[in-house]
Amino acid sequence: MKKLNIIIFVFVFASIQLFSQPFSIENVFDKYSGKKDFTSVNLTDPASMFMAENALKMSVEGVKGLKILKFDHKKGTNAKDGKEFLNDLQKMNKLEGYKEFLSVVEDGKNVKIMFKPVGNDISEFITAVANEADESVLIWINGSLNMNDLMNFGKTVIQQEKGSKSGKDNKKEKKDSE
Amino acid sequence: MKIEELIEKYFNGETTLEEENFLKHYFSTGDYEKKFEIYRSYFLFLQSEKAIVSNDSVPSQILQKPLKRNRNFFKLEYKWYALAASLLIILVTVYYYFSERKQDTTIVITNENFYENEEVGTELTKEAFNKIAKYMGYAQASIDEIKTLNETIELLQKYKLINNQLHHKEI
Repeated sequence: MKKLNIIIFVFVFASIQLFSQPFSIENVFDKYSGKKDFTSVNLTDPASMFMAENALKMSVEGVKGLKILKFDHKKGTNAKDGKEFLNDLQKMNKLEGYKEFLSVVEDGKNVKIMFKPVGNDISEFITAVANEADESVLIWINGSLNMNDLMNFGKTVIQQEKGSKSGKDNKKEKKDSE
Repeated sequence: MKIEELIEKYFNGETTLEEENFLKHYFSTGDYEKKFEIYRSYFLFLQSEKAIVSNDSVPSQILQKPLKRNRNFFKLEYKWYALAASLLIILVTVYYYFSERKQDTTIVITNENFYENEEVGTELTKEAFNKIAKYMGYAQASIDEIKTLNETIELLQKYKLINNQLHHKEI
């Protein structure tokens, strides 16, 4: 009887191990894509898609694949999957084969940037923004990317943001003085 | 017609109202043939029943409206109730179906359906790249800060070295 119990236990454990999906980026996208309140983008050769948007076309030049998964927590109509998605995003640093580049907690947002290096270039790039109060986003980019280009691109965007912010502040100050 | 034939006709159900009244009257007078004695009590009973008049007043509304009409009226009422309930159920279902569809924003954009959802797809990609850029920008800024800090430390160390050398010379 004891032997039978052990055999059943081993069989059940082996089945669970066999059928449970490993934690991979593909599985995360497959798990949530098409679920309620999730918006997902899955594009191969995205540069060919954004014909009308020159700036965007330039940004995705050299990108072979682009996947985006977004969930809006504010709606609250699919809280169960939203919470699971949030947990998965926070586990991104456990992905095999990826190196963690950045991990920041900013205004309740838990941001993680991971990449898969091939020589001096990057073959895969992941950005996970987990924000329970607003929206959580997972971005996966596949292609030949240059870290310096991405950083410089980022710098310009921040400068532009700062510029527009200070412009707005100046306008506000002018209005207040009037 | 003989009384005997009339009685037979009565029990065959073939008599007219006048003939029935005649028979009732015949037995109530007491002037009847004794061979018909067995029928007398029966016809007397009928005669006495005819004389009973109810003292209860019947509401005039009931007298005015036949029962048959009342039944139809209720049947008609139920039909309207059923119709109204069905309409209500349909309206509520349609309302919830459309409000649910409004709330449900499940969108899956691929190369095949990209141009049908171009606006959402483009906006989402822009947002994504802005996010990447923003956090990469933070990383670059942090590296720049570290570089500046390193340079400052190096400068301080150089300054400290020069200062030490000068101090030794003075001694």
